[in-house]
Amino acid sequence: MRLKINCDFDSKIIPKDFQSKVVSLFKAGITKSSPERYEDLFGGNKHKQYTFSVYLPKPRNKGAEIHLDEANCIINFSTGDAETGIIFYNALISLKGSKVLFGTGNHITIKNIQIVPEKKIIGNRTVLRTLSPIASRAHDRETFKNWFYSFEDEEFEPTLKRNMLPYLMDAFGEQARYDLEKLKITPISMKKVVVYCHEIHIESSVGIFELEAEAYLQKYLVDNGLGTMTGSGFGMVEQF
Amino acid sequence: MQTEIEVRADDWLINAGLVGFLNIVGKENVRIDGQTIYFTADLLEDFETKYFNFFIKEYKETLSWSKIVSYKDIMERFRAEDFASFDEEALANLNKYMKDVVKFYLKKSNYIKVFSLIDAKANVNKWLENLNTINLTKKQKWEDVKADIIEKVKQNYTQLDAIIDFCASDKGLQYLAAKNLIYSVINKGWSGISFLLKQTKIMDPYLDYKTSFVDPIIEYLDTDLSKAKYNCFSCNQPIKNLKLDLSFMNEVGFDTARKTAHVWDFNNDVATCPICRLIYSCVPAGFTYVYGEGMFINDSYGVDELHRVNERMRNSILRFNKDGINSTNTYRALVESITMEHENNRRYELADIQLVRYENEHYRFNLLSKKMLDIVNDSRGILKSLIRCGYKEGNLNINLYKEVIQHLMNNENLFTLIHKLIYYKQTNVNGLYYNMGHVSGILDINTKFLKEMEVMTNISQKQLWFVQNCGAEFKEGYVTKKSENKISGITYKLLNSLKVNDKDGFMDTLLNSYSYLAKPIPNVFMNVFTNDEAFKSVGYAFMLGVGGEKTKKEDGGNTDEK
Repeated sequence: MRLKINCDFDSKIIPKDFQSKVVSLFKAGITKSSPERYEDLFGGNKHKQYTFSVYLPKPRNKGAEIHLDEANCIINFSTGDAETGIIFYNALISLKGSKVLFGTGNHITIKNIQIVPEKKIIGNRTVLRTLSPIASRAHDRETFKNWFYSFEDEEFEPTLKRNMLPYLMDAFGEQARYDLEKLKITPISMKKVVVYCHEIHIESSVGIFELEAEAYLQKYLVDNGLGTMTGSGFGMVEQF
Repeated sequence: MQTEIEVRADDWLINAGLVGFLNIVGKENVRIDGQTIYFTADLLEDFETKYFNFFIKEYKETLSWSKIVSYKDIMERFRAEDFASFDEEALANLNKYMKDVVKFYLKKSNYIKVFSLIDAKANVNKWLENLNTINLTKKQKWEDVKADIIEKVKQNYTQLDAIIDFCASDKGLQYLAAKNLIYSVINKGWSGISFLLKQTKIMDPYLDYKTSFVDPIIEYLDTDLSKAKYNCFSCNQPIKNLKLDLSFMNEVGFDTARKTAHVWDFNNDVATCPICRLIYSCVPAGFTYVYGEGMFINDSYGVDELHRVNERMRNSILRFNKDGINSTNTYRALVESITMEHENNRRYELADIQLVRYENEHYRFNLLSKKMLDIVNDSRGILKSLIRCGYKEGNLNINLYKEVIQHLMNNENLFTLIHKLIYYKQTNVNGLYYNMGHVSGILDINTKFLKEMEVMTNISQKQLWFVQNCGAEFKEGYVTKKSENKISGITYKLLNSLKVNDKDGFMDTLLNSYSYLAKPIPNVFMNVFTNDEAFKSVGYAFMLGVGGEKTKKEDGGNTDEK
């Protein structure tokens, strides 16, 4: 289920850490429309079965701020879980037309929400394009330190698989482990980017790549985001 | 000679026979002790007459015999007033009666065979030949020719008098009704021997029955069985040979001479003693048949109870039915007789009762569980409203009452039925005799059913009504947006997703439509993803709301009214 959310800003300046502001927007909506679900979604540290990306018109980095050409943006939202989809849809529609704080004195207003038709996934290979960067994170259990890899690193793919394994196992069971091992990412036109999110700089990858995996895995990853931190606006891909 | 004959209740077939036997000889003439009945051999005297008398008594009104005889009243009425009110309609009726009833039935070879037994001197053929249809040409005016016609009618009446007197005589009833019953009731239980054998040499069905079933018992009781090698398959009494098999019982026996593969090592041991055979021949009297469909409740706790339950069912099917006999009534009578029992009786709390139905020449078995009875009992109001509802599938008329009960008895949920009903209604199929309110009632029953089966617990009736309301509002939304024509497309998609249990597909369509209306999706949809049944219930409730007839009324009339 894909939603395309058209939004307006008050001014053309938005904070650099805009992903977390979008999450705040979601949270505000859910608190309003279905507060009983808030705890389920944001209460603990668990994998989010959704992903989003933000399209900004010609953004220019200026220190802690981003300057835009026009005072609007498009939030793309995707989830494979119908229930989550409804919660978010209802949340966003309840905010429609009202101003929500977006940092740096700016406000965001949801103008309209559109449903984006999904393409079918056929076969074992698809060429995908990232809408938001893919994060691959190595977490050190002892020092609690994170290290992020981009596609150029050798560790990128194994770490990515390690990131995805627990939630794929949750969704599909033991079978997912074997199918995940066979998954292959071949960069076609990728580049490394560093994203500032939640007060840290994250090394990640954007661009076009080929994904080779079982169709059900592909569908799950296209629907719910690829890699880790999908709930914070990472790993959203679309068929190219 | 054995003084008392003992018959024990056992499987459903012998139980049906036992009930039939009790019906025929009268409960008071046998000694009942728990699961066993005892009677003496002299009870079998003139058993064949008792046998047919029972059927005649029960099914008299449904016979073609009564169609012939009942015309007498009309004739008497016209005679009493000297044909004053005899008009064209009465003439048409008379013609119809002569052609479609008297000549139609009395020319059947079945009946012709027994004419000589009723009255050897009567010449029925001549009477029938003398019956002439009275035609009115177009030019003739009723008033002008009335006198002539009444003269002709009187002539016909004299012939009819003879015919009706012939049929209505004691012997006429005895033989004509018996012949009729053989092919309308008795052959539902067994066939192929005695008077149901096509090549039978005995004209008189009474005698035929006696020689096939009663006489062997007398002979059997007089035989010395101390050296008998075999045992009765049913009661385990010694028997001398394996001649009497069960192949005459419909759908139960097999031809032991031709096919022995049904028994172990191809050595047939399925044979009964003449007593059990007689009991088996009473199976049609134990079942209650309406339009070729039969029913028997095998409540084998004790013979007394067994007899009582079936008697009550038969009474409600054949007598207490004010709406006339029809095929749904068998089910209704069943439900009523059992739920009545259910209210008064604690014992059904414990037992699962076997119900045997005879339908389309097959036996079908169901267990009436306490759960099923509870559901039926709880939903009596809704079920009652379904009695006259139905739909057409090709040439087949399907009754909703029957369909729902059948599903429940088979422990099936009603989703496929609900789906079909909504779908038909949406696509304006011809021959639908129900409205969405009825479907909503079925959904209610289904929800109860799912809860009883403990497959769905988290959806309340209230929530479903709420969802139904949401569906109606959803439709309203489209109507106010002037896009009613989109609804059928959406309905189609939603119904399809429901059918294949595609939650995501359903929600996708729903989300799309709601975003078109720029409205939030009702929260209740979020709770339904826990299981398939809840999803389907909520989904169909929504569809019922969407399919409601509200907007059609505003247009001033139903689209069904063509």
